[in-house]
Amino acid sequence: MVNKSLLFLLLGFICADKIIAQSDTSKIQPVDVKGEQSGEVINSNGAILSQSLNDNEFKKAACCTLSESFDLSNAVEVSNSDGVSGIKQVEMLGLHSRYVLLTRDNIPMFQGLAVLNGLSNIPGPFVSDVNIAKGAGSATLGFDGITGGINYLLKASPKDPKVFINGYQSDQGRSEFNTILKTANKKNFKNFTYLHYGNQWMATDMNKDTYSDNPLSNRLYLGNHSNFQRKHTEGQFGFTLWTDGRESGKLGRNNFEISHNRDNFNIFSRENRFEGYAKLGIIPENMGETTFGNILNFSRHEMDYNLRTNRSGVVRKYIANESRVNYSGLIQSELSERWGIKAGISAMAAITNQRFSEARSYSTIFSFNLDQQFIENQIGAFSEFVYATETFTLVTGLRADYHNHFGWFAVPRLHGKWEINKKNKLFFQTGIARRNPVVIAENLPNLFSDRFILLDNNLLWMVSPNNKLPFYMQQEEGWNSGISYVKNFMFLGYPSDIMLDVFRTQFISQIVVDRDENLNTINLVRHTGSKAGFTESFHAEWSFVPMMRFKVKLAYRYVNNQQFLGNEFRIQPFQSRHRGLITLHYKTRNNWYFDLLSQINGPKRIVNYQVTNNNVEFSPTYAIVNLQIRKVLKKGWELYAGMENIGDFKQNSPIFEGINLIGQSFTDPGFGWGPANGRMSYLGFRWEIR
Amino acid sequence: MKHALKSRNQAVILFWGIFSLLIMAFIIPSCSTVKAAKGQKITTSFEVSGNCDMCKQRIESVLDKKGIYKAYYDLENHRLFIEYNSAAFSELQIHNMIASVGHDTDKVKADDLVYENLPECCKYKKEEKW
Repeated sequence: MVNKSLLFLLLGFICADKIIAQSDTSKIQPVDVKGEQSGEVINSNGAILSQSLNDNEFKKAACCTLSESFDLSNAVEVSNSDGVSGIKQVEMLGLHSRYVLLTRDNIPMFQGLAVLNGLSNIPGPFVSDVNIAKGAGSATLGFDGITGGINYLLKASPKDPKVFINGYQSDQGRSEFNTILKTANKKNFKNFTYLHYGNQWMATDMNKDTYSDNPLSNRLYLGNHSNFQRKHTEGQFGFTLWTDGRESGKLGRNNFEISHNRDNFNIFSRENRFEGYAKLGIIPENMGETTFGNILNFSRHEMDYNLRTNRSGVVRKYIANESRVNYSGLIQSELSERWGIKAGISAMAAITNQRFSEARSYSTIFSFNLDQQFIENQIGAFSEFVYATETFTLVTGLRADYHNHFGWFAVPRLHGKWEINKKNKLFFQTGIARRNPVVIAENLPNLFSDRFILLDNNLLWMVSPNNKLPFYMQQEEGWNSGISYVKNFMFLGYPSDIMLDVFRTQFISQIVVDRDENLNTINLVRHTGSKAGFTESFHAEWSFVPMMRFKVKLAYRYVNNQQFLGNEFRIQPFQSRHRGLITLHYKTRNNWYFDLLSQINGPKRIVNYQVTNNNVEFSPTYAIVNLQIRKVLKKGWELYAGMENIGDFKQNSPIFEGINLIGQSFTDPGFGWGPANGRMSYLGFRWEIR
Repeated sequence: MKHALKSRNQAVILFWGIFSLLIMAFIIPSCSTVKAAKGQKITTSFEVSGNCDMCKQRIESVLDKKGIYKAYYDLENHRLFIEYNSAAFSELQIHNMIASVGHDTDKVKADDLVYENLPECCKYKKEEKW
């Protein structure tokens, strides 16, 4: 029985997980836990180790989007991609979030153009669970995800309230409003509507560099989600629509808005996205444990970025749109007591239109205007075998895909778990993953500068005959391996967890952003063979309960991310090797909650800004401390207030201004290693009707 | 490339301050238990019926009282680990408190009426048969 349920858990990891779980434990009703659940949970039941953050954890972060909420996690970290655009960059095992497989309830979500801003446009209060798994994941989910997978779920369970309203206001001019309505609540059919409006209406300049610290932004998000259950089928469908407009750059005359003056440095952007999805699981009668899962999703993404730099008069424009359809079908079955199998097919079609132009006021020879249509078709087949005994589990996966530009390729994966005993578990994994790059879109934050753009060591306007740009580069490919260890033990009378892991990613083909070679250029270059980079990481995490209602987490992570930059291997710029994290959580008997988060970031390498490139400079060590106080009142009300960056730490000059080699003035906002805005206070409320 | 050195020091000091406070958090609880000289600190464990996270919540929160230092319910082994002051509670009182919210202990059985009012997932007697 234990064996069987273990197998179920493994099989249940993918796709039709709910169905399986239901057929197994149909006698147990959904659990309605009142009071406080632990915010962060280590899932060590399946063959793949993962960490879950639930909405209790997100309440501690208070604001505002999913990517900002990762501040609390040791596995994922967030930073500003540059000093001006306000685009958040998420990293896992030291690698950028474009190497992470992002899924919503196992539906692939942010591919192509959306890798840049996808996570930043999911309002945090809508999210009920986030599942973070380090390392290359299951072969059934896709060939990408070199560094790991993040799977998120929006609040759509029967226990959620009829109406949920959340408001937030910060003293730096950010207002957020979120609401979730349970629009249909029948026994077998549930429908939820999500509405979000977020506005940054005031520009601040706390580090006195005359540039706005945060972009002015205006975001609207509308979503609808339905799920249904029948006797032999179960499924969900819905859509999401969001639009996000931003303005950033030099401040205007009154210091509260962005200057629209043509001579000033500013970035204007607008991004729209529509996504529709459907998921259907079938449990045929008389077929034992066999189930079928189907996932279909469609997305349309539009981007419009405008950059104008001051003085030297560079104008850069990037306009792109993308339509994408994904399908994947899966069958899973039990071959014997110990063996399980999953197999399926997937297909993808996408059309991407891109236009990229540049004009420089001082010379016309550098100007270009390129456009390109990129059509992708891809089909693939995958299978996965699961072998499980009571103490040992092994999952082997293999998939083969055909892409119209990249040809045939195969991706093997291996995951294993050894349950030494109930309190000690060891996980190991290895696998190859690939990804299709969208070079310009995903590196946009790096292109907000006066630098000349090079593609594979050639100036962009020279490699593009007939104004047709080879926007696509060959796939990136990497080999990821890791070992994790989880130990549970009793400490001070309460259970305590220690988690340790070591991962290494060796790229076979890697596209790096090289700004070290030359102050005047940015080189998007693909390295293979001995020039391909590697990443090593180590995480340690210890959580314990020193006294009643008091929780402590201590965490540390080390990353060594080596890339071939300039003419040698260097560590990735603007990434600290060492990082420490302390979170304290205390609750009183009468429902006051106190949360303290403290984060220390070690020195980060600053991109070379000297003409001679032998100079290696590091940023100072800095710490961020956040505090939040929350009170749960009667009748569904909840109030919270907090302060972020209590130490008021800020970087004075994330934007580099100087003169380039040809004597023209030069601006590059890509020198941000710390926060540009200082201490921030906020207030908020939540209200729910049951 | 001027760095905010002043604020850097403050923030880093704050981080290590929190870290050292945390170390102190280990020492203070052990001191305070010595101070509570009136009664004895008793550490014990006994069996309590329950089968889900919600049961765990209910059991642990009814024991969240002054005089009880620690209460942890091990769901898997149906065992409650408790640390309390003998001047504040007797062991039987603790058993009674748990039974009053519907959970059987090895000394006191819960009232049937209270048990019947538990949510479906918490009906541990059913679970045993299944």
